[in-house]
Amino acid sequence: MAVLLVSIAGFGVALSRMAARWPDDHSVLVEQLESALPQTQCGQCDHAGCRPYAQALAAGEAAPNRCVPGGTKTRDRLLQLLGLDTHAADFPVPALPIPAVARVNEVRCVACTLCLDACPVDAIIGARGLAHTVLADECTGCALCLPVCPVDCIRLEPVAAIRPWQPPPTLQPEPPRHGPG
Amino acid sequence: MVRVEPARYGLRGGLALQPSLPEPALPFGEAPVPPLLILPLQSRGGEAALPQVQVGERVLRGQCIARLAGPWDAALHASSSGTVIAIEPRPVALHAGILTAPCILIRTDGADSALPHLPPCDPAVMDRMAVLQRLAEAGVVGLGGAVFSTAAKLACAVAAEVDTLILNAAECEPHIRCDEALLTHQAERIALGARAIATFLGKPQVLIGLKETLDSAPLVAALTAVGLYDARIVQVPARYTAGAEDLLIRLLTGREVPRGALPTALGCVCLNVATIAAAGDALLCGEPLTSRIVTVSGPGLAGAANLVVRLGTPAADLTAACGGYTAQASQLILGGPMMGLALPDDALPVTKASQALWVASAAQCQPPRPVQPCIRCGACVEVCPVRLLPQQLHAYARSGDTAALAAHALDVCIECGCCDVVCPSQIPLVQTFRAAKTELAHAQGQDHRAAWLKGRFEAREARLEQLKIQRENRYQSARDQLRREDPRARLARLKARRQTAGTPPKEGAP
Repeated sequence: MAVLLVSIAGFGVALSRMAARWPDDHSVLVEQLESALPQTQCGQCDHAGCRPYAQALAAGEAAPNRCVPGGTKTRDRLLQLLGLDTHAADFPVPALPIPAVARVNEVRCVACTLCLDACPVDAIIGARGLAHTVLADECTGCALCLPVCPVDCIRLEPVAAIRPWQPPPTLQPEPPRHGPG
Repeated sequence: MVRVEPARYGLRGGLALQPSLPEPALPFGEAPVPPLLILPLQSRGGEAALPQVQVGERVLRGQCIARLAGPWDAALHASSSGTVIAIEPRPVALHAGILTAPCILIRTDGADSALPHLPPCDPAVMDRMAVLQRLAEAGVVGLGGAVFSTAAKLACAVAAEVDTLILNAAECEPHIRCDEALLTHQAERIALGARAIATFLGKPQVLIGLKETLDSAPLVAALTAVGLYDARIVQVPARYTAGAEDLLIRLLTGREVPRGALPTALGCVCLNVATIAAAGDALLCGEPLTSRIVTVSGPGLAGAANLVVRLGTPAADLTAACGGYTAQASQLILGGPMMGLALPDDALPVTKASQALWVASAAQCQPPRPVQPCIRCGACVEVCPVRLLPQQLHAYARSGDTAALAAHALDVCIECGCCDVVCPSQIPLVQTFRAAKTELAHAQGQDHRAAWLKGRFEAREARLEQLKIQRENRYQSARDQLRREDPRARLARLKARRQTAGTPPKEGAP
């Protein structure tokens, strides 16, 4: 009897250790959802970043079609992770925005540093009294810096994107042919 | 004694595209210096070299006219004397296709006067850094078509302490016979270069992969003359893709280069014989790379020849040197029929990557037949020299399944075109794979970028949190200080401040 009790207690302790060590399904799901998001941190999903959106998705408080820069691809991945693969038609996504980066017109910039605080990825550098500039490689094109600028000196400029090669039209599968007779 | 032996290891896949018997030799000669040289500033993808000359400046043969920033990037030299008449974008044949790249245009003066050669830089007496610098300075790149900087390759080989130097004379693509001319007429240049590079690498074993239909006698004599008695000449089959670097290493040594690794991981470094000869010239004679051998042939030409061509010579001057076009001429192909590029016109120049110029007849350039659906015959799998499953890759590429493409090792594809040749449905497989590779690289780039951006976002959040805590602490300590202060002392302090400021406090202010 004592042996049984000790072993049950030991099993309980082991279980609690494992629970502490391995995260629960919910946090794993949040991680997976977050890694499916493009990390632009643009807030177009009405959340304060990609991670809060992933948390809201995991909690069932947000729709999986709110990620604008992710487009259909991200929506499909989110649906897959949430087990809603077959419901893609219920969640239409807006058209994918043209990839762009912000650019500061340094002549008009009044060096107020407001855009520095607005940038979610610290892609704008500058200081009070010194014109600001955008690190084009880091900029996600989220447009969060545009509304805060008091002199409207920031513009989004499209960046060159790859042009996918289209297979020749005859490559499309032909309709099934029927045998003779 | 230099040994000549058959290959012990076989070639998987590939195609027998050329006769298994030796072909009649082509005449060998020097092409005349053209009136205009067009030297593209871009050779591989990536950045264009920076011009070192101004428009209107007079240049001499062997003068450096452009260079890149990297320490092992090869420089570009004027291939004859003349005047720089323009630096402007022009269409050129690059690896990725016919693209517009900035070019330096030189109007030659016919004198062909050269800069004095640099002093020799023999690896037997000079240190390794000096040798690598000389190779980069002399513009030596892989002349087998990849145009990768030889200095960079050897720097990597030195770091990996390679034990085998492989010379590539497999020349497996039909109609390309420039290495054959080099082996027949200038074998001593190869031998001297091989000795110099072998000395540089610390005397590794030297293996030469020679196409079985080529005569090994001149090379044996030259290697013996320079004292490379331990070199082994291995006869490789005259099959297409035997000359691809990784496949040649397997043919010669039986070692297989792992996916994503460089041959140096196996202790091998592989150089084309033309590259070795150019490296020998740069090190022993101090001569920069200003010319290369190009096979000019085809049914559309009156003659055919292996010509020593100044880099930047337009294709038109080469066809003229071979007697001009015949009535059959219909298409110009720079390179071989498998991996070469169709030129839009004959004003495009020969570059360091150009091994051959083929003038095809109309019968050889028939329009592609209509594409049929894949019938899963598996012919492409049998010929794939790198053992991929082209039919599977094609299906995944069409459905855009990037995960499956990566799992089926699309990145290993060498774009040799064997699958295209055998496909009974005329599916443009290699073209599909090239496009899919670009998209796969783009998708992987996006993933890396997302991870990077996430890191930046998290760093920012952490920083803001830190600032918030610091601010809280500051306020808290200020509040604590106020609480501890004697009220009378505080009153006295405020009065003193009011008198120094000289302004009465506002009504109701705290």
